Amino acid sequence: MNTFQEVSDELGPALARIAASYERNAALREELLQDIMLAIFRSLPRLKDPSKLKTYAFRIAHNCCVDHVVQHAACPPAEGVSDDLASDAFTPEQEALGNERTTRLVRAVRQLELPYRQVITLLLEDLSYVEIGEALGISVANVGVRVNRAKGLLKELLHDR
Amino acid sequence: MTDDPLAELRADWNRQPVDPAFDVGNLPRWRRRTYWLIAADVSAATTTLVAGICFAVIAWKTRDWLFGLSAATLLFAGPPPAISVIRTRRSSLIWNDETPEGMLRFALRRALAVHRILAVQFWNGIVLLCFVAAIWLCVGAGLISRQYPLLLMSAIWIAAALAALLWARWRMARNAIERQRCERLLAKFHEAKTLESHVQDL
Repeated sequence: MNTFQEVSDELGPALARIAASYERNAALREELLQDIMLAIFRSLPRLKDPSKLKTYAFRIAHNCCVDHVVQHAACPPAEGVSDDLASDAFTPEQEALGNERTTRLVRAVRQLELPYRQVITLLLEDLSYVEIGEALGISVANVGVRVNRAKGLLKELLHDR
Repeated sequence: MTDDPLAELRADWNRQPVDPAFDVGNLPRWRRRTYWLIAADVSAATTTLVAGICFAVIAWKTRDWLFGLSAATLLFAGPPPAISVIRTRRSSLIWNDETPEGMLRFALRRALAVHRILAVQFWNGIVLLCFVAAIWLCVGAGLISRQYPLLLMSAIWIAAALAALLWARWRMARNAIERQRCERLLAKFHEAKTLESHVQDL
């Protein structure tokens, strides 16, 4: 069984990227990442098959993010939470260092509706359709449909800019 | 979008500036925070209950209407919201690694539970105002002596009741937004699922 430290080291950056796809405000994003880590920490003893750790952790991460979106629904967009607004994830310095394409991509991903955002973030994290289906509890066929739709929407969003 | 553009997107995605350093030592502290909140709720509920029983005993022994009314108010208004809050907090401890839709349904149930708590707290504000009115009726009827600083206490109770009413109203408005968000997101997930059946039909 993996220790939590190993999980944190192995999946920490990926989980941080998933959190960033839901939350643009840096302070709230950090809080969200803490919630995700805590949820994984609590759920780890219930993981039956260690080989499924990645999909298990990503599933918990997306559940935490959905909960975060709901709980912060009453906050005005300016305070940072949004499931459909573009925003700034990087400082101007980071953008100047050549991250413009990354910034555009993150902004576009944040504009996707949740069902499409979830599949595209997992696809970008290099998960297979089967793994995405396991993580989100949907059929492989549904993953394929959502991925195709998400790719189309993402293409439109990236070309609009 | 072909595989190559996808590889490019993956490269762009992975360039995000993230801080991989994560302090695992903080986790047990965050975990304990929920238990501390439950302990605080239980303490508040117990204090209200004990105070209500004490006031009832004093009222029984001294035949004092002020203590009698206070006991009735505490015992009537105290336990229901406390029990609801504790039940809601306990359910937040059970992290169900469900599907996102399951999570949304859970969030909707939780928001409805919070709505019920707020409704009870709103009525508690009304109960407190009725309590003040009952006290002054008893004073008028000569059942409660004027030896207590009733004016000052009434002002405090009215202020507390109005604050509770306003707070409950404000939270109810936010809670309604949360429920709407849950329902809207559930509809989006349902729509994404029906896309699959449309494709299969074709």
